[in-house]
Amino acid sequence: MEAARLLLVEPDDAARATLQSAASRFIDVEGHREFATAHARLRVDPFAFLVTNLRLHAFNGLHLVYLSSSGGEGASPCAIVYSVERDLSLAREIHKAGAFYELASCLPVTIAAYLTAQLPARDRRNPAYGDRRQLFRGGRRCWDHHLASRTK
Amino acid sequence: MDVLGHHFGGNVLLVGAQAAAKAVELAAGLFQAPYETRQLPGPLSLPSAQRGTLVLQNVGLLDPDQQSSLLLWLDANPEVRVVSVHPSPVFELVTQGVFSDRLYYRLNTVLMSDPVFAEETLSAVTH
Repeated sequence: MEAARLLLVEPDDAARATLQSAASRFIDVEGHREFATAHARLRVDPFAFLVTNLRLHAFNGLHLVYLSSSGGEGASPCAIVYSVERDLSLAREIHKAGAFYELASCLPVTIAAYLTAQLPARDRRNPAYGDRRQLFRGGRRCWDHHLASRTK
Repeated sequence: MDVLGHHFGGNVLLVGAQAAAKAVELAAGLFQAPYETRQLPGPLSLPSAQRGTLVLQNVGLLDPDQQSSLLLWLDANPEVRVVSVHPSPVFELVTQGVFSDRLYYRLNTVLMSDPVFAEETLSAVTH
């Protein structure tokens, strides 16, 4: 049985290297800079995961999401589409395509969870609410933070 | 493999000399929903229908106010599909700062400018 693979599409070399490094600890990663080469690969080979920037110069990462899901229900990869800035309307568009929405700054950390956790069929998070994953949660950590800020 | 299957719910941007004819073919064929056409430049009256397809001819000629209105209207009408048409690449207008970056990526969920992409996608309509 062939190992699961991830197709990564990011025009910026440094950002692609960061994501590739984070994901390759869990899965074989094939990185692409250009929409056209990623498009050609998706047409001939199935991938378990598709991770793409929404902004691929003139093209939209969602084009690749729709292309990868057009092979039928079982053939659809888990798709994660990210953007540099939070944009509610683009997030809704991403959800409509059946993909998960992420911020580019969070993805190098959160990609591990996507690749190892049991994911729901679709992204159920409401993009209207802020991303709280990087905030202090309640309880002890919150109290520690409070004490640390008082002693400064 | 066609990118526009029956499940497709995104917006389409068609670029090129033959784009106008293809847009009508797409709106009337694959999407099989009522559609309205707006020709630019000119006043932009956006339909009140909550479903269906809006065809925007010469979308690159939207002025900044019309671009803002269209963005708001898209947010308020997520079930409406937009097929936009322009004879030349709209992305050049984005890089020149004439066309909104946010609106561009809302309208070009699927971009058809290359004949290969156009044939691939339109085969869903004609077969």
